[in-house]
Amino acid sequence: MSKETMPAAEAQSYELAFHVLPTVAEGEVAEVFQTLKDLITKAGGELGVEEAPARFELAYEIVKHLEGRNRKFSSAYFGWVRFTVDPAKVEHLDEEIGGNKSILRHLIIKLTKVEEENPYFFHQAMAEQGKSETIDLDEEEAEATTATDEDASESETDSEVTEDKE
Amino acid sequence: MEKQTTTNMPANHIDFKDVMRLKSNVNPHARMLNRRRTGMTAKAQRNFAKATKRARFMALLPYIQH
Repeated sequence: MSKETMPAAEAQSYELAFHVLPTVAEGEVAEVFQTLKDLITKAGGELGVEEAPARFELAYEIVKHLEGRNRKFSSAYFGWVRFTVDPAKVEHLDEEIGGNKSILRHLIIKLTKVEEENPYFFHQAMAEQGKSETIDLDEEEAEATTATDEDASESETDSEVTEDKE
Repeated sequence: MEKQTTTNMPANHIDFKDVMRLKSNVNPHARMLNRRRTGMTAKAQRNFAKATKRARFMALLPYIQH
C-alpha cells in the first residue's frame, strides 16, 4: 500500500510512522529513533519534520511473534518522521525497518502535495486536546441505546444486560 | 489547494493521525459512516477512507468496537 512504482530517480517524500515496543526502556527509545533515522540517511534520504516517540495506548492489542512466543501489546511508543528519498530505495528501507527488533509495527506512506504542506503533530494535538476535553465524542453519534462505549469496552460483556439497561 | 496553517487541514483531507476528526466520522461500532452521513465530497470521502484504514492498521483507531 505504500510502495511506489515509478522508475524515476527524483526524490519522493514519505512519512514513516512506527511503534516502538513497550518493552524498550524509556531512555533507549531515543536511541531506537536515532537508529531509524540513520537507516534513512544511509539510504540517501533527507529528513524532514518529525515527532519523537512517546507512550501511547493502542486502540487494540497488537500480537507479535517474539522469541518463539506470541505476545500481546496494548501500548507502545508512537512516533513518526518525514523524509525524502529516491523511490528505488524505499522497498529496501521498508524491509530493514521491519527487521529492526525494537519496532512493533511501522507504515511508510507516500505523501501527496497536500499532506506535505500540512504535517499533523499527533502527540502535540493529544496534549492540547487532553487539556480542553469536555465533550465526549459519543454526543456526535447519539444513538440512544449504546450511549456508553467506554463502559461497554471496559467491562466484560458476556451478558448484554448491562448495555440494555443503559 | 490553498495552503493551510499547520493545525488546520483543508476540509477535504484528514491525516491518518488526526484521530479526533476520524472518530467523529465513525459510528459507535467504529465503522466508517457513508457519504450521506458525513456530508463529504467524493474526493474527501476517499481520502477519509484511506486515512481511517491506515489509522486502524497503526492501532490509532480500532477495527471494531463493542
